[in-house]
Amino acid sequence: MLCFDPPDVNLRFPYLRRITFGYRITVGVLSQSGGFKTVRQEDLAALIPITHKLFSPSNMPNLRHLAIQDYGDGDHFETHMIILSKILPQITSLALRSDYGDAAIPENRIPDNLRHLSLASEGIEYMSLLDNGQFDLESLHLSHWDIYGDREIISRLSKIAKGEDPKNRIKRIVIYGKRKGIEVIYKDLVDDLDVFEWREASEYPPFEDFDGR
Amino acid sequence: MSSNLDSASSTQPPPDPSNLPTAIATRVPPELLLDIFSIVGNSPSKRLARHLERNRNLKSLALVHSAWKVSAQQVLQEEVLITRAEKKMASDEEVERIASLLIDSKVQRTKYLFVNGHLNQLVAKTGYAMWSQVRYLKLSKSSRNDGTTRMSDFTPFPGESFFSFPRLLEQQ
Repeated sequence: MLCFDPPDVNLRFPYLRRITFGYRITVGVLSQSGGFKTVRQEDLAALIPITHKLFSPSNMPNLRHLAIQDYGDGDHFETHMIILSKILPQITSLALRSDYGDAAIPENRIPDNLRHLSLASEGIEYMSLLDNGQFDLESLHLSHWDIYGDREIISRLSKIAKGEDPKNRIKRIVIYGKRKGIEVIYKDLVDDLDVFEWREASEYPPFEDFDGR
Repeated sequence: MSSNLDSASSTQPPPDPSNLPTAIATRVPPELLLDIFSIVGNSPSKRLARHLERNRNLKSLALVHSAWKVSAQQVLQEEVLITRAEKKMASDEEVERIASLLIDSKVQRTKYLFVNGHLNQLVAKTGYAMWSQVRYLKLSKSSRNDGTTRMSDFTPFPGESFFSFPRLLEQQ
């Protein structure tokens, strides 16, 4: 459990370029008795004055890459995005991963200057994400499982990759997994699949090493 | 045939290995040889598996020829992995024991440090100077043995590149 103390506002990480919040990491609050518990959204107000100074451009001037793995408590990504919100404008690559079906990507908190996004979660509502967000990215990295059962999302992503989407601009869309499996189901979409970059050696996009390449 | 061989062996003793020209392979740094192997072979895709394979091969190569020993040892120092077999967490006693071995070996060029145990236990024994060149710190447990991880535990690591702390609460 990652816990914060008021003196943490003075911690500086001048060379730090990447933080990965991996599996089962939760944000915690310390009690006066020395105990600790997982923080809920309603407890965040007490932590924010600390985390917003700690995770800030002045304390982490070179932080560029962020990776967050969902712990399955619904608002996990949201909680991290809130405590990290001051540093988000300088983040250029973001990897979000969840093994749970109800992971909610807070599209209104996607970093403004983000260039590369890696998503791996069965629960992500891609159409909603693309409708509500307004992406301007160099690359988007997805698993083939994310588009496997959804003709609509394949067409939409294809349109984006061709530069024909009015809301979202993404130069490269990289799909991890077997193209053949998708082709067999959507024979009429073969041309659409051509506009994606395929990486078949892995079924999921990179997480802790992700930098957009 | 047999007599010819006998004759040859009696008149021409086998060459002294120390006088043989050094084989090209032994003049290649072992880490370069490993890079070549990993390109032409099927090196594991996971970072940890790659690291373990590389270290295992370096240890073997260090035994092949004395010319490889020093450079193999230097490369081995660059990556330090503290864990138990089968990815189990190293107990505080085990971390202390490994820390003592690292101190005895005067390890000081580590760039990649993986700790599947409590970081504060390791640092209490080694001090921070040993890790002054760490660029990648991966912690698989809480940094402290009370179950918490504090950002202050990471400040002494220069972390030029990045650190991560996955699976923090496992087996807590």
